[in-house]
Amino acid sequence: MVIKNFVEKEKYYDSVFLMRLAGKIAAMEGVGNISVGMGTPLNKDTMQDLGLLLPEGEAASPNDLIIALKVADDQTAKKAREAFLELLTAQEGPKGEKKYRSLDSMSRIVKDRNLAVISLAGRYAAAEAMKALKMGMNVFMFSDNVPLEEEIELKTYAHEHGLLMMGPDCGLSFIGGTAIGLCSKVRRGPVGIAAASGSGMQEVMNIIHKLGSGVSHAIGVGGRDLRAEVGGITMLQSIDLLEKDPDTAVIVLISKPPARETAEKIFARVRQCKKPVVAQFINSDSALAHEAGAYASDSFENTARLAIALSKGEVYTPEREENAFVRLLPLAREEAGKMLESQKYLRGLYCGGSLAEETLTLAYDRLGPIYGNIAFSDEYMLDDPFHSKGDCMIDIGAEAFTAGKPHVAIDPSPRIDRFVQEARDPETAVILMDMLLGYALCEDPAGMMKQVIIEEKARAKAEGRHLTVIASICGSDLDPQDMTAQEQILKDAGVIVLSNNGEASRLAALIIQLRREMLS
Amino acid sequence: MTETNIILNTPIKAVNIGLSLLGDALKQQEIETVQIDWRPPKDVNLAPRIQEILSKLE
Repeated sequence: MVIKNFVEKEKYYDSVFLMRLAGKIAAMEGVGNISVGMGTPLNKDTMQDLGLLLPEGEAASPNDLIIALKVADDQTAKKAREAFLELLTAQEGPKGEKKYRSLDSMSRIVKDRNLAVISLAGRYAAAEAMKALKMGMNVFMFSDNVPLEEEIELKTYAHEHGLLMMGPDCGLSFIGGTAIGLCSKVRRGPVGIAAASGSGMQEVMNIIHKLGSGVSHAIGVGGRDLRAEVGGITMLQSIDLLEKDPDTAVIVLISKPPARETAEKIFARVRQCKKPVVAQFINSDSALAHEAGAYASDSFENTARLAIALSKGEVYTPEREENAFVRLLPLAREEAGKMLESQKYLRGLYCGGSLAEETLTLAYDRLGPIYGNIAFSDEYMLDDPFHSKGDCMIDIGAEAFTAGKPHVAIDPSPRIDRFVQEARDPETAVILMDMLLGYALCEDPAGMMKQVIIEEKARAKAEGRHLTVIASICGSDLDPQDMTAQEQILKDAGVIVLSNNGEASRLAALIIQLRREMLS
Repeated sequence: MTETNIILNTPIKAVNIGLSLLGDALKQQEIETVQIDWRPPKDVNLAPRIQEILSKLE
């Protein structure tokens, strides 16, 4: 094998785009490793760590593209570079497509835009968003690390001018049938959603779809919208829009625990709303919702079922938690009965933060508090997110795992190593995971995990252990990934696949509870 | 607030600034999308940062 660096002068591309193309070259015969990136210090460090950086790469500027390769010979290196450049050209869009260097230059020619999608690094994002708002566009801002005062300024301006400022830190929105950001495509229907929780909104949309109903619009408001400082500007605006929207019969609100004063503002508005409202504010007091005449829910499935029933004018009585557990008991007994004495803990490995939080909530009654890099009290926060203890939930999307990498929903590969680590821990009984599908998300999340699941289950078996792996798919049959095929890949690897995260969490908690009873 | 936001019921015409992945996902859904060929400004705030580093070295 030889190391080769090619530097393409003054060619700028974003890191996610380059990573996806590099993946295709990595599969070529004779290519041992490839790292492609702009010549920034961070990218050079990564290449250095991989042993792929040569002096010519080191000399590249941040505006130059470095293709760093470990290949069989010089001939393969040349071929790999050519193949990469061809892919770049092919992906750049049709020849003759007009390119603009800035919003200003675009706006002189194209005047009909009504949505700006912004995913620049946080320090550049707000300035572009303000330009877009001043041009009369709504904004969807995927970027995070935008200063809070800039968020408030953008949202206030947007609100005063009748525009929607979705984000910053907004993972997805579904507007009039279009999936924006990292988002599932679902059937259109009577349920309108506004949410400050990306994976929570995606889960509710998909459960609604699986149950045969649909979503009018789902508006992501950004992770910090319900903080006291922001005051729920975008969520309040979304309630106004959905209340007036003729396609929306029921409004669903979802958020991580909101600031008390923001929750009060939201529910004061809900009290005036002419349409029924379902509120799921995770791990938060439901009294405010009830007082405002809203329906409170504590699981994504119940939220979806309640909303569908209300849209039909029907009464919905949630399944009693106890009955749900009884339904899952035979399978739980079978799994728990195959395990070795050492196996007693649940390990959750999640790409969706709100799904991980739902599991903390649903498992609490059976298992009590759970450790993790997300937890409901500081006492249960892990000191070291790279090492689990007890029953433990890991949000793989946390910065410790993804620094310098794309969003974990785009590239869930940080989960692979952690899976191996948990699978080899003799105390692990169950590994629980979410599989997120949708536009702009990982093309094959199940395929990415398949090999490692098969290998680690076999290794456990050889040691006399039985490793239970449970997953739910947060996606729909309208997503670009083939959902049925994704499910089959998991099942073939020996994974128990359940219809949603709530159901998967219940089964996992029940198995752990049975293990505790067996061992006591 | 003005009453005029009609994004919910008007066909989306988008401009994408940043990850081309997000613009491509819209194009895949046949949404008219302009990709801005955005590049980081070359000299943003470098002078104060260099000053800061130099002052720490002194």
